[in-house]
Amino acid sequence: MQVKPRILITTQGWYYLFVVLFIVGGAIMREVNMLVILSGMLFGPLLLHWRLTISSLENLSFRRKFNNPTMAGVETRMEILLENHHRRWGSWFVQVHDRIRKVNQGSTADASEIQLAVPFVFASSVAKIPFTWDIAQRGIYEMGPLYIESRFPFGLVRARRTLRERESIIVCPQLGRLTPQWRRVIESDHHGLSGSFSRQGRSEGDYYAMRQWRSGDSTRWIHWRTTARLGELMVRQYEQQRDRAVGIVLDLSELTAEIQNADLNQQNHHAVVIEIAVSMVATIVNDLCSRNGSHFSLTIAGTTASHFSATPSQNVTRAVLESLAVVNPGNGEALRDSFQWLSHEGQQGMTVVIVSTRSKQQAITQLDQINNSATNVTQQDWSLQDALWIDCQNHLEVDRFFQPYETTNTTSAEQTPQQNDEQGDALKQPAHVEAEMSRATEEASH
Amino acid sequence: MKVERYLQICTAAVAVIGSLLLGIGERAPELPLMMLMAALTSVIFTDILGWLRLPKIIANIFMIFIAVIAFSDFFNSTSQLQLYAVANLLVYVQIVILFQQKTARLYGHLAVFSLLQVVVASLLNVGVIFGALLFVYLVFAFLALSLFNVYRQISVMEKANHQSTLLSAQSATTNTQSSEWAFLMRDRPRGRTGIGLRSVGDQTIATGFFRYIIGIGMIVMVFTMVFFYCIPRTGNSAWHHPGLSSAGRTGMTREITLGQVGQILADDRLALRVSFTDEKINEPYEVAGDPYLSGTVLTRYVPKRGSANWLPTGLAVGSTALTLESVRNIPLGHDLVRQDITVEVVHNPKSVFGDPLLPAVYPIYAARNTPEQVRYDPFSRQLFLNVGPGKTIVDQYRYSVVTTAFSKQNQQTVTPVYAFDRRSQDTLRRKIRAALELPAEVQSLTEFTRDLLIQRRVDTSSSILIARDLENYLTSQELFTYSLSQFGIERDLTIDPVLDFVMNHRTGHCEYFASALALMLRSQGIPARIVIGYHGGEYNKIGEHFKFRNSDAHAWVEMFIPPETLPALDVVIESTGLAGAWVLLDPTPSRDEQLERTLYDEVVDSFEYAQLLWDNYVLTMDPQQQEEALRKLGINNIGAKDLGVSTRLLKSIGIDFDQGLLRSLAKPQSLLIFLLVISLLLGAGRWIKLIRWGGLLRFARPRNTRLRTQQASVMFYRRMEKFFTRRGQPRYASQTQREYAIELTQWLCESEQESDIVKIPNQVVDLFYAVRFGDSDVSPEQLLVVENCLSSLSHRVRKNPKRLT
Repeated sequence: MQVKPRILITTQGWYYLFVVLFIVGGAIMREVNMLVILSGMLFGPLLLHWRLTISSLENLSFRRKFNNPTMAGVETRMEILLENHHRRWGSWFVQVHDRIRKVNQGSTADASEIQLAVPFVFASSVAKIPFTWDIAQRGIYEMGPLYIESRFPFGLVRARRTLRERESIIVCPQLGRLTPQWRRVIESDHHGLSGSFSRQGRSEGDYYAMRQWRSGDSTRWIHWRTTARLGELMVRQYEQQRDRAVGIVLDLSELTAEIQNADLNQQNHHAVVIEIAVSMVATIVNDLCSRNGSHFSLTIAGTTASHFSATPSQNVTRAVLESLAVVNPGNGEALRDSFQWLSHEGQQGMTVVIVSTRSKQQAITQLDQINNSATNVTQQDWSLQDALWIDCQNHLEVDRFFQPYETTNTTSAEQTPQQNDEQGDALKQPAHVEAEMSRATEEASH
Repeated sequence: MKVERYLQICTAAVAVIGSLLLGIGERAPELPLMMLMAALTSVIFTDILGWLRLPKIIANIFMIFIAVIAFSDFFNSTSQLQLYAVANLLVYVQIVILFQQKTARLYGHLAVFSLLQVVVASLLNVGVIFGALLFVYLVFAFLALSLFNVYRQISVMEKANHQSTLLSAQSATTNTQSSEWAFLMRDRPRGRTGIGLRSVGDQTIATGFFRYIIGIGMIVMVFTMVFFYCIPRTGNSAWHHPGLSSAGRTGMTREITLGQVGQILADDRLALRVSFTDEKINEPYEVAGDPYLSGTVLTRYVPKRGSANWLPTGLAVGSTALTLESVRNIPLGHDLVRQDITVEVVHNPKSVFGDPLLPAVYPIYAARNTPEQVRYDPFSRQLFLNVGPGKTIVDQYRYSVVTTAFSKQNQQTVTPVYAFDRRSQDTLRRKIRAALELPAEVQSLTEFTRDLLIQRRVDTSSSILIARDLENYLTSQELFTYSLSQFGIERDLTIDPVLDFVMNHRTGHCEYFASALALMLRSQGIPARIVIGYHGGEYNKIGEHFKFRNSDAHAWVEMFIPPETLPALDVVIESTGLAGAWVLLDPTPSRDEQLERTLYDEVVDSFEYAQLLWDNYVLTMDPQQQEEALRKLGINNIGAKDLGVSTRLLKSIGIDFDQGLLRSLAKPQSLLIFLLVISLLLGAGRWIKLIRWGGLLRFARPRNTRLRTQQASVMFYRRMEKFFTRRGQPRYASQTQREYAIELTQWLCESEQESDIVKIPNQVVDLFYAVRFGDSDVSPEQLLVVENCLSSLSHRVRKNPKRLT
């Protein structure tokens, strides 16, 4: 709910007022006509300024415009829309202040602020102030309060309007890049996994690229027009559609109490491990959902266990990412529930991948402690021994399948305010991520 | 940044204009020149190129040095020079600051010092050019202040954003084992503006900024004028602008000073009004021609080095102010005419007794209603207002006297003198003796006049003929030129100014002409004196009175002729006790017959008129003029009567300005009235809005719970709509609330929500319809239920975002 402008005299305004009162007092008491003129010239601007600042903000409505959810590690573009409802008068140099802070399990972290400005909002028009938040960590962030302020023209009086309502934005985990090794895991039994897939029909599948002819290619694949243009045989490349059943388990466990109390570095390292695990699973799900036809089952063992079983689609991607955005590590016991669920819900012959923040042995040991029979969970669909266990504590193991996506943002600590300020849209972001975001946004809006 | 560059230039310009204002007041052109050089140099070498920037310590040393010099001047000077010392200090300090690298603090200092400069300048300046420059200063000051605001805000915002970014960078923890993921641990988001703040600042000043500020300047000028004319005055101004005096302006004065270089300004302020009435039949008396109203008689000519003064006759020994005598005999053929005169007493020069002079057509006698305060000194021939000790001089004074000067509507130029007793004869002899005195410095006039008379073949045996011929000689426009200005006249400062006038440049105003004639007559042994008064005026047909302005002040000559010469004048005068007569002579050429005016004269006159308006309506504004100015604007009700009403009203609540302005303002009643006026002004906009939009009617409506709950339930619906709009389910304009609720229900079902959640939209819409269209009351319990539903919806959605897809 927007409130009427609050008016305050600034520090400079107080100094100015003091000088004005001094001169006005002297002029009136001593009746020096020239001083009376001067005091009128000083008093008038103060009154005029007061009215101008009020009218400047009174007719403005403002709100944020942003995509929700967004993704960590990439620029979250937002806009502040200022709409001037006045028919004739514009508003000069309106300043906007916004805040964002992470909300984590009910508590809030320190807020980051940004201050923006717009030179002029024309009458009966909308001014857009673009800006970006570079949010590194996933989670739910709360934005606000948002307020606009004007001190134009003289800076003696300040008017402010505040939008007290907070808005939330979900920041999904940052996506990375899956290595070709991962592809082999999904598409073959290279690691001895009991995977199953079936081809769909006799068609070569969907066309997706052009390449040079090589021995063994069917002549029906030759693209004659391109061949004539390039002067060498070029064939269409097809993707064979294969139904892949994948089961993903995300095991997020906290550090043991002893380690937590002992070493801050260990804590920090474990926090990074958790983020790696979440990011990897997010990337995997995103990848699976972009390849239509595969069914996947995802179970997250964090504070509690949560499960997804769906045919990949953009909506599913979004739902999973939003879930991953807020997932927190638990004590590790939820893994048992995840396994059980996967056993019930998983498809026959699915490939099971367990992304964990601990080693397999650690997990099994804990599960043993909980339930002796847990390690022997086998189902007709999968077994723990056949599943691919990725221990995110092991950097090399992670690197085999997953790479974080590099961003080109410079270290802003070394930059001057001017450089920071002028960078504007210099940040690059992964094209595919941007595409994902825009697709997700369009789906959400429809 | 363009903003900063413009700010530097505007600040320098403000400093220069402030120094110019000061320089004009001090009449010291070196100050603004020095400041101009310093400003130009500092902008180029300090601000733009950065070659010359005084370190802080050096600047402070300079400041101390300047302060020491200024204070030593201050304590060793008189009050006006103390002001100069302060002004010079401000200039030098600004120069030192200009050569430092500018920060927000220094810009602030420059602004304050510049303002102080203008304050000092306003105490010293009297010229209209000051007013024009003040407007220019105002515009530049607003520009500088506004640019400073933009610059400062941008700096503050940049700093804040940078600080936020630094904090965000510091929050990132590093991990040597997985350093490429360290940025993930930065839990504080980092914001980045889409458009640079500096470019925002530059765009601000590019979007009609300067026009906007100039517009503000004009509005402030209008406000200033209203403020200036509405602020209450008591007429007890404690400051007298140096150089502002009645000298140099037309108007009746107590003495004449000749030999001044400069321009005399034609002052069009009203001096007096006079209506003539035939005392016998009490009907308006038509006067043919322009009457001469005498104010004072100047007999003593006192030459000085390069100048000369005409002074009134001093008080006679044992002289006392007498009441006017009633007329005894009306000369044959003359009419007894009553003069009803209203004079602006404040502007009148003082009599020999120190009281305001009252002009009139002479000879004068007491009328039936002549006030007792009107007194007459026969020796100095001055009529004046006997104010009395401890009494306030009022602005206007009205009095009536009668005269026998008119015969058949014409004012006679011969005023007979009667001496019935020895005392009056002695007095007359003394007057005649005084009127014959010719100082040594003008003795050469004797020979000159004699030669002139011979050349013109005048019969020197007749004083009348001599006088007439000399009068004709001086009024000849081929020989003499009338002008109020002494600019461009080559004067010989070694000789008497009257001699110089007669023999050399022959250009002057009525005082010169009258002085010349008087002295020339004296050189021929004819007693002559100068009379200052009013001549001309405008006749107001509707009011049937003559209106005399200060510009109608005039000087002419009276010469004394013995009784035996009177028959030559062909006048009929009572001969009993006749001792002679004073004959009016006016040697000043008629102003209507001036030589052709050039464009230069027009420009000069325009400037003079502007200066006069400035003096009259600004510098010397007093309560009377304030009232007159407001009356001219059509605020006719402000008159003495209404002022009296308002004064009585104020006095009734204990505010009496007669006790002193400060004392009156210090009372609680004054403060209360002031606060009331201010709050009315401040709330005027709101009051207008309320009235305009029927807000008062809203206030008049009963505020009851029913109204509040209705509004509250509608608000609930709005909240629900907003909630779902954010989640991608807006209500389209063509949808009714019910249709919308159905759609939401369907959507919630598809999203696998619990049944209680699914029911919420319909529940809210039911309530909405009941209140909005059914005019039913909503209980607080129902409101609470709806509130809980919405809270649970919001809570559940946030808790399990995955559910809502």
